[in-house]
Amino acid sequence: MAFYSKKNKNWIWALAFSLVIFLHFTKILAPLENLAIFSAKPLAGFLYGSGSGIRKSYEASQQQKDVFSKVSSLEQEVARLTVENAQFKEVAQDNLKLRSQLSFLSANKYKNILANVISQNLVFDIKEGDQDIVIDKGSKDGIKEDLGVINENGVIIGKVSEVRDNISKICLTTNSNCKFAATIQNNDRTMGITEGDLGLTIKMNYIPQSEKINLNDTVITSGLGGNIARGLVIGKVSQINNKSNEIWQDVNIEPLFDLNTLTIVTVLTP
Amino acid sequence: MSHLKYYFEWFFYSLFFSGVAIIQAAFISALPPVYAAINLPLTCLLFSLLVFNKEKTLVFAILIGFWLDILNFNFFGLNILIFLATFFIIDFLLNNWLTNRSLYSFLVLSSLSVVIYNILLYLFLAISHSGQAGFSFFLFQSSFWIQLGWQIIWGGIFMLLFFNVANFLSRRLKPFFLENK
Repeated sequence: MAFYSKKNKNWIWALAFSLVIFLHFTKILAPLENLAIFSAKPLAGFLYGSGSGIRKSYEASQQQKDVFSKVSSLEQEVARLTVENAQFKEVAQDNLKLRSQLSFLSANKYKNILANVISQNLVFDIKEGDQDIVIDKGSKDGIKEDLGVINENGVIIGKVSEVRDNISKICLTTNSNCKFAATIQNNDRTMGITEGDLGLTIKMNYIPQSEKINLNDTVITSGLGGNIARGLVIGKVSQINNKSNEIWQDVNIEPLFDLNTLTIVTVLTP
Repeated sequence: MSHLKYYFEWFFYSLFFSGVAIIQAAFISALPPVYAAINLPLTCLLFSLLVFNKEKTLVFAILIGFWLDILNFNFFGLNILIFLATFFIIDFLLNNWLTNRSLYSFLVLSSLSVVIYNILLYLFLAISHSGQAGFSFFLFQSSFWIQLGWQIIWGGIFMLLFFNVANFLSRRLKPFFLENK
């Protein structure tokens, strides 16, 4: 049967599909898309919160309930204290510099944009380690690419990787495509680049062997990565891979956030 | 009056299928991995194909695809294209291969739709992601086969549920579902 025959109307669907694509890329469809996203955002936010709540309780039921709640509260406490500790250390460092220079540097003031998580990866990882979430704020709300995103404890969870008018995609720190300029809070103030490792942990590679790193050292953003503020906690050193016959060493960093509890996040804008 | 009913019906169906797409994008994606394998849009579209006709189903496929495309950061049109292609193939199979319209035929159709949908989707994604660091072909990933298996199971469960509910609620549908002897 010919594709264009009168009986066969399949070409109409090809035409309809082409028309939708054409209208999208010529931005003619943009008002309708924005209206659709705008009207769906409250429902999507609510549904995502419910879904992640079910996921959290499902995972909690897999473990001993009392142990889980204890560990969970302790983890939150550790995350809070780590952030606090990191901030104090940074403040102390700043104080030393200020005193020695006898000048005052005004701290960067960052505006915050609160956003709801409305979706996460719809497809399984086509590339190993891809982990993204979608938030309900976009370029119309002042969000730009590469801005840092933190959770309620102030731990950096990722950065903005793609922006549309009303929604944005956040790549998480555990995403292998998500890289941050970072500093380890050890005596050497080791600097490097962190990247996600299989969507589970974070890695910092190519650290000179001469640098002394300890387990549980806090890793923070160095502020050299463009729009991301200095001193935001990325995680804690959980493993040091150090072989004497190699030039470099690398460390595994344990992130201090749980994807299941991410329903509200804050985007930091300069 | 009949025009009004016609428009109301389309409005209701559009609202329903939009809701299905939002539930898939926001709610099901956040569930634990086993439940996140539920593919509600595919099941609803398949059921629409069985209850209504190809044309109506393809309109709903465009609508669901549109919603998933705007709530997603894959290239625009991917979901519309995959749903259209899947239901062209499924309609062809339904009319040419599965002449016996029993529950068992529909279960086979449900499984086939899941397989066709996933292979088309991940083939397109593989083409677009090939050459990037960390890329591995989906057929060689165990997670692809695990989630495909779960999608088939969930598709079968929902088809079983819809089939029985439809038979229970409407006698009108019975001759459609049951083979005349």
